[in-house]
Amino acid sequence: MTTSYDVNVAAQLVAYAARPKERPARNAAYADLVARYLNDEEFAATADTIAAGLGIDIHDVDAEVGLIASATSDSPLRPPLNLMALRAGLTRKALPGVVLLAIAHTAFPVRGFLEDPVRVGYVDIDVVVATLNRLAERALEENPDDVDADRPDQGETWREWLALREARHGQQRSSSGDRRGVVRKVCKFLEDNGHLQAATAGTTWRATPRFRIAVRGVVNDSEWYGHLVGLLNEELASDAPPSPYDDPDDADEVEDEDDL
Amino acid sequence: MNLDSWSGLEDGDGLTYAFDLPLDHDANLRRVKSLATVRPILDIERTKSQLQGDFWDFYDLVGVATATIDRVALAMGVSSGLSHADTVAAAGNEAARQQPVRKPIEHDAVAARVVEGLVTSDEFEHVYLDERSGEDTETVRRKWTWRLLYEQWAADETVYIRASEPAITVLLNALDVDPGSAQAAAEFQIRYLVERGMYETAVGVATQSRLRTAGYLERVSTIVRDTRIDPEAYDWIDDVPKLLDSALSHVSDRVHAEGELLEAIAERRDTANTAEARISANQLISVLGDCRDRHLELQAHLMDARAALRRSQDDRFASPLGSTTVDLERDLLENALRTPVGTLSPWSTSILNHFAAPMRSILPALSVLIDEALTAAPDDTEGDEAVTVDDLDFEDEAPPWWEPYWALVESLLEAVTETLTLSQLCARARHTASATDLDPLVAAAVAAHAGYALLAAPVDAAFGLLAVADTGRCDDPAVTGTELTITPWVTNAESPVPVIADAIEGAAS
Repeated sequence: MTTSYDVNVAAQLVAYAARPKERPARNAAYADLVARYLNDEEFAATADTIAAGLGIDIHDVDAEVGLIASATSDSPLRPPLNLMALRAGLTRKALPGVVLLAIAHTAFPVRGFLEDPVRVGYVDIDVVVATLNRLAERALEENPDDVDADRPDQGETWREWLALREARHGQQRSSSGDRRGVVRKVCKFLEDNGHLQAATAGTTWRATPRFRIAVRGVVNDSEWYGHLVGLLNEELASDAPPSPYDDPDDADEVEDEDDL
Repeated sequence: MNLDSWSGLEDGDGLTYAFDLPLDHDANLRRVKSLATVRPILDIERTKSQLQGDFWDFYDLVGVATATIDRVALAMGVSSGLSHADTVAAAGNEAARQQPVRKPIEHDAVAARVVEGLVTSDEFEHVYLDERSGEDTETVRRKWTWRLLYEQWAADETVYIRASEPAITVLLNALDVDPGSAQAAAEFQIRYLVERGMYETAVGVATQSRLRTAGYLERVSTIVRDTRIDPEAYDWIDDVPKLLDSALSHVSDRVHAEGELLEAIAERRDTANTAEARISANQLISVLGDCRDRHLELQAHLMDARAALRRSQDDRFASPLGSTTVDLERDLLENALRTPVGTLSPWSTSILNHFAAPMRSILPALSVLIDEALTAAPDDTEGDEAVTVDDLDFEDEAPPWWEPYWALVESLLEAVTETLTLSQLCARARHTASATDLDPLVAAAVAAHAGYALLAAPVDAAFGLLAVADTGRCDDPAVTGTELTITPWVTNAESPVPVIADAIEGAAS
């Protein structure tokens, strides 16, 4: 039977969702809660119910990494990420997500690395920029036509990447408007959320086991991919304007469906 | 290896004789790999002359490197190693031992260089020819990859350093060794030496034996780890169980033998006559005791390995049907780049959210906080879209002080249409800076920095400018360097490759 004390303890575990840099190995109380979640089904169900009520999605509970969770789209606990793109000087919110994928690819270039709990992956800003440059330039070669100037929404995301300024040669400092600056911003965001650990200030990071588990979640969950392909196909099918996403209200609805 | 090419060679007297080279192919490959392993260590020594400072010749970096690997290997357990700081300290101690009178700052530089060269996240590569003789002799190019020291995550999310099996092999001077049989041989050798009272030699052999145990442990951990990542990496029906069985029986033999050996040494120690012999015997007991502890740890690890492997296989089979894994680059990254920005934005935002922890604490930079405090309150009529305190988290830091200088120099470079010298560029920077609020001296220095960067820039770099070093010196007081000639290059219809403008040809000649 679940007592109010148990609910209290389960809520303590859920509270750790807000402390992404805390680890069970460094915090005995947290370790006890995680062990209880993994071994006591009733306790786990209580914690899940509390999380659901708060609008928190528990992705994984790992004995070493702890609780990995994010807020659902309708939760008041959801951090306002749209502004991140706007403050970075990007007109659209599309690019940061793509940069995040490129960072994940840099940290785990081989599929097997996502399954290796002890391997230390590295993220170097220059490698991320080079990866995106390579993919964007390939896309440009295949499709050299300019986008319709009246319909900027129809321009593919790679165009937005190429439109960003290249960093000056030999530049070490950061400038938030150029390609390195945008990558650095997303890396900082991941660092704040316990996914990366700074190795060399401002240029390289270690990918933590937390990032490995979170990325593995995205790769293994075919819904992310399915949704992306759906967007792409829809776009190809409805070549004729107008796109349903031109209306920002509609776009918000899509975002809601998308949250997993 | 084609043996035909080796037979029928002529010697100096014109006589021919045929010989067949009995070649243990696998042993030879092991030697090739062992020699390749040494390359990164030698590279650390070879490239030291390119480093800043004039003290590098005093140090033997190969010696520092091997001593560092040794320390790391001896600190290794099944899932532990040496911390980064301790590794650097170990390298620093060895440097200090080599040159005790030199400055500690040099020792630190040596230690940092050696550890940087040894600890890698990428693997070294060696391409070799693998010749399989059989019905048809064929030669295949193969790639061997290895690391010397590598980082690994600990549970508390700190990293520690471990030595790879190839690195340990280097320490053992072993070009061709099977760790299992070498271990048994070492025990036999120790027993023989102890029987004859040669304790000091026995300690040396036992220390090597301890390293070999670390190497064996590393081999088994690697196989277990690889199998956990990909259960099909090794043959699970035959090879892996056989490997685990043989490893287990090897380990229990070793534990047994070491126990006997320890007793024998303890007995002989009590009857030893000299103090030296007793000290050596005690040392031997401590080294062998450590070996036995490691073997016991390995035994526990092996006994758990089978269960762990089964669990990971169960996990894999338990994943829901129809959930296929997708490729990060091909499926996600490329498709996302090809999706129009307007369509992708919501998807992109929700993937960022997937990585964001809920209710994060907000600590904006002070400069941001002040700026925000001084601006007028946002219009609340926008409802949810209004800027809240939470949004500050993603605010930029204030632009750095050098940003206007770079913007100035950049605009100057963009405006260059005909050849000019670095002195002229610096003069222009000073002139423009004094017209605004900027410091002319700093502007000239930044202009010089940008000018020298052009020297190293690839031809397709920004600005369409090319710099060539001149014979004179730059006459700007802020710059102590050679003069540069900076010229725009142009492309024309006949030549897709950039052609240097005529002006520079005149300037250069």
